[in-house]
Amino acid sequence: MSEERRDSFEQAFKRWAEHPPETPPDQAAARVVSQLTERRGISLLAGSRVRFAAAAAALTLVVVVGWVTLQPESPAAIPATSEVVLPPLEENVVLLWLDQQTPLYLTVAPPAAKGGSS
Amino acid sequence: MNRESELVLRAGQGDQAAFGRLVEQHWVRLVRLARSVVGEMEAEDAVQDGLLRAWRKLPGLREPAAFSQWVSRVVLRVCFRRARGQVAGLVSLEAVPEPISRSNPEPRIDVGRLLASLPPRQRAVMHLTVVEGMTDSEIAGILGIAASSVRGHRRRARGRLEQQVAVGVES
Repeated sequence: MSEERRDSFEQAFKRWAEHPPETPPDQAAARVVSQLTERRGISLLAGSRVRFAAAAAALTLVVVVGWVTLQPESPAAIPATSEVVLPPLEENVVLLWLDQQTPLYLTVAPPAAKGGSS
Repeated sequence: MNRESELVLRAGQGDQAAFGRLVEQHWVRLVRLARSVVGEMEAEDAVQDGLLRAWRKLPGLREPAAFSQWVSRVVLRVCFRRARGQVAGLVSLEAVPEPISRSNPEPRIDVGRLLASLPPRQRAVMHLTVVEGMTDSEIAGILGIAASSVRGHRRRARGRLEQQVAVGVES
């Protein structure tokens, strides 16, 4: 923009901006002040809600982290079943693991062993 | 401590009358600033919205002497948000006719239409530069940008205005 055009634009801009607001300052102030109590009250209420939510979230995080870190040794630390020394099984014995530390031995035998023919 | 700083301190402590005095003192300047960014139709509403936000944030203002700059920033943020939602062209800026001086022989410049061709931040930079006569660092403080960015905005604004004038927006 040439200097001349810039100057004329800026002069016009200043004149344009001088136009006073429709609402006089005293009326504007009264209108704004009439809304202050309600707004700050809402703000404080909203602020306390935010603080409460943040505190609840922080507490939850602490509990979860504490619970995770204070857990007893994980099952992975217990020797795997393959590491437990077991006596050799007989041919008619079946071994079932109820969990990693509880073996269940089942002995398989033919039904005739009861000998009940009558 | 000057009179305004006292009012700012009292307002920050909840004194509504003190805040009312501050509104009275800054109303005209803030409406003029807002008008350059969002246009006549929304200017007063935007300033009122900004002042209510300022009231809520005022207890956090650490330098009472910086109130004028600070409240301008709060109001401008509202204006930028509103300007983003406006339809391109910002027709409402044209609602304020430039006062025509019979004694002024220079060709009439449609300021509203020229401003409407600029992005909102450039409108604010032009207003603060031309109308309020602020320095780059003062404008940078209000807009929260570097002084070099202020110069960049102003250079681009002037470039765009020149283009607009060249295509005949100027009448």
